[in-house]
Amino acid sequence: MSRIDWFVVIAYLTWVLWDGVRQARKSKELEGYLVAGRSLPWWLVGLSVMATQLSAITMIGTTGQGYADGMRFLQYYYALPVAMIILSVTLVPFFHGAKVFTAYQYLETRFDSKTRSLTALLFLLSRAMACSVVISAPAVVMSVILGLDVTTTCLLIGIPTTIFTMFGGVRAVAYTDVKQMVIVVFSLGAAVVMLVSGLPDGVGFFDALHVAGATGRMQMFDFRFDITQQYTFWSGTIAALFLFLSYFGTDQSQVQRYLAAKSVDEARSSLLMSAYWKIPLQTLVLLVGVLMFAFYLFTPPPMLFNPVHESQVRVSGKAAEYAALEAQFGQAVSERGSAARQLLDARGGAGGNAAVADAQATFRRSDEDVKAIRERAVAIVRDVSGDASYRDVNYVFPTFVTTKLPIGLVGIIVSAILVAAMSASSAELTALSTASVIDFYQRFGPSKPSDAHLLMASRLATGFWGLFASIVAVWAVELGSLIEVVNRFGSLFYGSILGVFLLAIGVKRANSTGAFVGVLVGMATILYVATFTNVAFLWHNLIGAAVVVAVGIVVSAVTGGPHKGGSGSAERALAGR
Amino acid sequence: MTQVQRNYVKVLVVWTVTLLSLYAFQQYFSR
Repeated sequence: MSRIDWFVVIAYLTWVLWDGVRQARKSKELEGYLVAGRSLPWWLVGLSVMATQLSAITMIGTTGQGYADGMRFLQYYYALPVAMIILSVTLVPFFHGAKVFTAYQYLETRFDSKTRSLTALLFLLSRAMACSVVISAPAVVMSVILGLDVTTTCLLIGIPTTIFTMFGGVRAVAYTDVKQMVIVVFSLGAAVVMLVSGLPDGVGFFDALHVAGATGRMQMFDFRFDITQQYTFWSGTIAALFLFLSYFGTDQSQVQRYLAAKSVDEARSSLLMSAYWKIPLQTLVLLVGVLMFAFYLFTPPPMLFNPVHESQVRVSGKAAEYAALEAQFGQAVSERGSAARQLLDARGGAGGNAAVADAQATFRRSDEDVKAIRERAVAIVRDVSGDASYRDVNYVFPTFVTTKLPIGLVGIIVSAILVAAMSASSAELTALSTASVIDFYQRFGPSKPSDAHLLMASRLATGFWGLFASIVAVWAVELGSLIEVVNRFGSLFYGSILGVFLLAIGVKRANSTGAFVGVLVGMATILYVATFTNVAFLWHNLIGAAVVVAVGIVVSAVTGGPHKGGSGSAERALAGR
Repeated sequence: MTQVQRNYVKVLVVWTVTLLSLYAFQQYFSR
């Protein structure tokens, strides 16, 4: 990166850090620190909720998926608006009216302390892992751009995040999220403009999409009902509905946002903002990936987008094999470029549908040839580096940014990626800290702690989780495609957590034994399914929730029905706190 | 119908239109 880009990055990050720490003056009591005094407007909460979803992983992993697989990942988000409506009707008014700090407080009132503790523990496990991955994604970027090792990069992102979150609490997180949304959306828009302007003369935006469409990259609806496929219309509308209900309805990192809204209606409006904008935003992200594919049809791409691994291979025993492959790759890329031009000519010519179909078939074959050579190159990298899970797609966007964009814009986009990582991980840190202190320390620590004591404990817990996440992030980099890693971690736990809430609110005869056993059996089932079957991870949410509810009902019936009264009495008890 | 309920209906309408548009988008650019 140039000095100007470095200046942009350092200036922007310094502003984010300073502004976050500055929020400490409004976070001097526990309620101010954990839920911003329940005073935030809907637009701030809404942007904050959306920003957490638009993390650095989205900018790196999802654009890479768009480049390699096209738009099919969009199906993952189709159920989100429906989930937001269901939550606005059910859990949002319930939690907001109860004036709780964590979603899990309700479970003790409804069932017992061990069910609350188990569910909060599952949350801590899943989000601590997810928070680590959120930090490791930009570490991948920075290790490529700056030539730093991953450990240093993880700490460079994790430590400033930990500092401003420790001081500023939820309010700092929300305002950082707003800055993130502005710069990320600007960066994605700028990337689209630069990609389209980088296409050769005579090839426009719609031509690029037609060429991408010929390879199946414009497919956004796959109606096959196959539970082994990750992204289909059905997994996106049925299985993902359970994921979103669980994530936005029971995950503390999300519940904490709408607990910070100044009223129930403001909390509802904040969720509906995502309902309107999430799918269009995700379309924009994937479109960047698809346009990168089109861009590199006419501009020769590197065989591998990670220059660090490429350098390793060039000095290894596989150097000759790699060089031969590179020669084949250059030839294949050239043929693919010609085939793409022939396809565009056929579309504009008088040859009719038959000529277009022929040109499409030729182009698809040439694209498959390029893909096959790249796969062989990736196999060589895996062999040489010993990194069996190496995926080159995560390096496509960062490499494009640093090699093809002008000075200044590079700095802005790198800042966007870093701030996206910082704001997403800071949201997780506040949630982890809140659950640790409210669901564990306050109950099992010193009796009758003061507000100031709990505030200090919350800040220390934020610091602990920040360090933990930064260290584990180093390990998370070794896993596969980053976006899927986060979702896989989540799907191991989300279904069971949603199940226990469904049991609590929807099944009046459920008791604490049923809930506790249900969660344990649900978790065991999901671990089995994830380990020994090839059921796609989105379905784990539905399976987990269904098993918890079913087992909970049966065990409750066997053990004598409700012990603490139905859900109605629990709601009244909680609301009366 | 309350304002909140009207908002939910609006979300469902926008959602349906968005999915239909994306489907049309897919069909147009994949042919």
